[in-house]
Amino acid sequence: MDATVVNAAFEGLSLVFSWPYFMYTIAGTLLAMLFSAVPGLNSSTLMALAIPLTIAWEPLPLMLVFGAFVGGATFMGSITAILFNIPGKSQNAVTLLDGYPLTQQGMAKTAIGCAATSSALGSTFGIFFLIGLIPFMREAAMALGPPEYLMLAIWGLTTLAALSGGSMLKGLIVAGLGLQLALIGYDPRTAELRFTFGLDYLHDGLSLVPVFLGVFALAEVIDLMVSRKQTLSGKHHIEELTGSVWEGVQSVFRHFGLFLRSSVIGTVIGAIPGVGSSVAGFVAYGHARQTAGRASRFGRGDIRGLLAPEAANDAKDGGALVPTLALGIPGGTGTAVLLGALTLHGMNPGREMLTDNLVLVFVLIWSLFLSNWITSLLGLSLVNPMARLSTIRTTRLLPFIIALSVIGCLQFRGLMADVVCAVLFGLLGYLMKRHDWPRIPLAIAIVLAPLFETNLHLTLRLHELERIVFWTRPLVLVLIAMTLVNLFLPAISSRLNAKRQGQREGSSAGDESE
Amino acid sequence: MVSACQHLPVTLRPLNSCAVFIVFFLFSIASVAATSCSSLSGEPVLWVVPSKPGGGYDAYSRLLQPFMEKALNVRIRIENRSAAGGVVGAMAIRDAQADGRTLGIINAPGLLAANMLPNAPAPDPRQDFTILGKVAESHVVMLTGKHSGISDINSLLAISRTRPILAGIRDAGSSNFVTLPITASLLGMDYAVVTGYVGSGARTLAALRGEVDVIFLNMDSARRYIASNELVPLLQITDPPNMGLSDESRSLLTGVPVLSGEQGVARRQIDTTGLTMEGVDAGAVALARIFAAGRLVVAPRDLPDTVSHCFATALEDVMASPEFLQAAGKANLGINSENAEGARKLLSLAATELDKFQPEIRAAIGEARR
Repeated sequence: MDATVVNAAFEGLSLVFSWPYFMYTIAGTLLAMLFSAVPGLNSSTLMALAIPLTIAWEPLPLMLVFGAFVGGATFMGSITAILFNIPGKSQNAVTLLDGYPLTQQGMAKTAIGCAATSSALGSTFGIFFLIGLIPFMREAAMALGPPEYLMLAIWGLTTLAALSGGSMLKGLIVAGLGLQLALIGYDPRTAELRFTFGLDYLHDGLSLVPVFLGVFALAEVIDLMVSRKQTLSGKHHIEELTGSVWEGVQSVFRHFGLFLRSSVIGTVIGAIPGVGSSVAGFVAYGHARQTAGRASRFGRGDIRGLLAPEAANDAKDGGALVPTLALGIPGGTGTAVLLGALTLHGMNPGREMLTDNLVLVFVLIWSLFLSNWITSLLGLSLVNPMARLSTIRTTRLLPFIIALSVIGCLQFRGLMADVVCAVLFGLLGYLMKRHDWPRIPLAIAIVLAPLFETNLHLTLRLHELERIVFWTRPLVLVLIAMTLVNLFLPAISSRLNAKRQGQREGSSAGDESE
Repeated sequence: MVSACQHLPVTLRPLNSCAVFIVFFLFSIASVAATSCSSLSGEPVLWVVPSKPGGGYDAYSRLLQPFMEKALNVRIRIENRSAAGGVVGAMAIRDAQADGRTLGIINAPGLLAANMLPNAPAPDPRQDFTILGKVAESHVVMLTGKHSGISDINSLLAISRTRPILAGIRDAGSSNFVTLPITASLLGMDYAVVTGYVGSGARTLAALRGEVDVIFLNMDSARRYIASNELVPLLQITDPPNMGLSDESRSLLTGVPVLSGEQGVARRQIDTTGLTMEGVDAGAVALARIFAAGRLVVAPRDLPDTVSHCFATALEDVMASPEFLQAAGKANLGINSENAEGARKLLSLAATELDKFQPEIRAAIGEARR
């Protein structure tokens, strides 16, 4: 690596850990943690609020605080997802798929331990990936275009086959419903309105926060009320809870290959500008499920279903900084606000910043790194009081969960209509749960549909105009191969397994006859 | 007033009753005005930004926020309501109560363009809002990627003689979509459109990757890419050029040709386009006027006069204050302000000019939707 980059990295590191700058990161992290503990609020909102207050600041404290805001907010949304089935942000919706079932089995401590470790290590992976990429950032940001984004979406959608919970037909029907729901609102190409039925609320399409709060959190509330379950975990004392933090920490190292693959998925998807923050976690979850084998307990409390999306969700922050710092093009909403703050301070992210202000870039990166670790370590230290919540009687807990869900809806955009939307999707989610229809394909289809639709149009148009040749792009070919593996590997492996079993039975029958 | 005094009770006359009446009258007016602004204290005022945090509209809003809070003595809460190129946010302002609790910033040329779509649900900026003032103009620039092989406007025009020029656009209801057919007709340039590049970042990447030949961006968005030599500015669309631009933007556009005026590229292309000199000037002026409508600060329609006067005056004072202009300069945000009356006139002019191009724009929309 270039000596200038290494020197800047060390200088940035020493600045982050020097007095009093260290305190900026700590304060920013704590503020982000408090803020993001409320469902519906996220680091983008916090940063946007902080812009006018920090307008007179020097660049160094600004970088420290904003880096801490990005890093400090990601993990906290996972806590409410694991404990109460409430996704703090849309990206945490995937955390609850296996996180909440673990809580229901009295393993909240293991789940939080796993999420905190996976989150901290995932962010570390993303950050070191980012640092390693600094000399080639521009090329990396340019390597992906509409055909690659399209194939990435198709690859993600093919994991639906694995997420259908046993019935492929039900899974496909639900996924189709999800794709249809995602089409509501403006056509991104022609600006025509689709399926809005004259409702202004639907012009913007269905927002993920109320939909996920409904399908998962409120559906669970209804189920808890109907089932009259006494506590979330079925236990009444913290001593009765099984699992431990250490078990959660160890699980990440036990499945280190999956952790690494999920981190790569998160980093790459994070680097794609305009792709929603939820995509990385869902694609990683689909991949984990796809590669887990038949004996997995996905959706019923499989630790791999928790560690994969947590790693991807945090690794994506590093990835999202690649186009932001290399070209001044934000990777997501969080980095868009960061970019706005830097611009208001007269800084120009892009090549100029990477040459003239490389130390400041590293201050941002190290602050992000440090805040991710502070958040995870604080999360681990609070495991016991948090796990205790799963032993509280549901009659006392349910009003709190309902209030938290409603606050989440209202904080998101301040629209009462979002609460109504969440309630409607809550009923839908409950009916799906009751009648054993999978809810995950619905979520993943809604998340991936915009990426698929926009890039399908762009790819077809650019191909028609002979601006791209779809079949000669190496990354497209790799993604096609991965998609084919997703589609046919389960069938092939089950046939092979059947054949092997047949041979085994044949040989054991032979043994018996002998 | 004198005649009014003549009707006062006789007992008041020794106290110079006319003067008392005048003082009372002026005090009443002053207290009404004070009430209109003072009635704002208490609950925060909502400021709707019709784009995501981090964009140009968001930057202007957050720059104005502390100054407006000070001027109005009220807390302002900014809310980003992005989607559909600003239409959803504009609808939120339009549909709010006209009680002085909701303000916002809108993209006036964008909304005028969105109104040209058949069955457009977009608010009409001329009718649906109380205009409070203009913050800045949209200074639109045509750009290309640095590896596109297009070095300047002449090389672009040379290429356009061999094949259509490919432009990357957001969607058929955006102001850039309006810019393209008008600019192309003035340059005599054949073109094709790729729609679906949502956000200036997506369009910039499309130009950098060479998927499209040209894109159109506001100078606020284009500045950092031009500064880092990623994008090459080919043509300044709006006229007169460099109005209301920050110093840095002005220097980045030094030597970049303009579309209109005596030295403008459109006049040089008369032989190709077959247009008359008057026709060329009218077209170029029209484009300039469309974008001159700019970024407007608005409130819902039928806002009480006293409240709108209070907001408009505060905005005008803020935008003229040296502290605000200094902060804008630091942030490289160009300010080209107009008071409420001036902004309304510019908006009306823009709408009239845009109407003249209805057939061309509707044809282009139809083509894009096919």
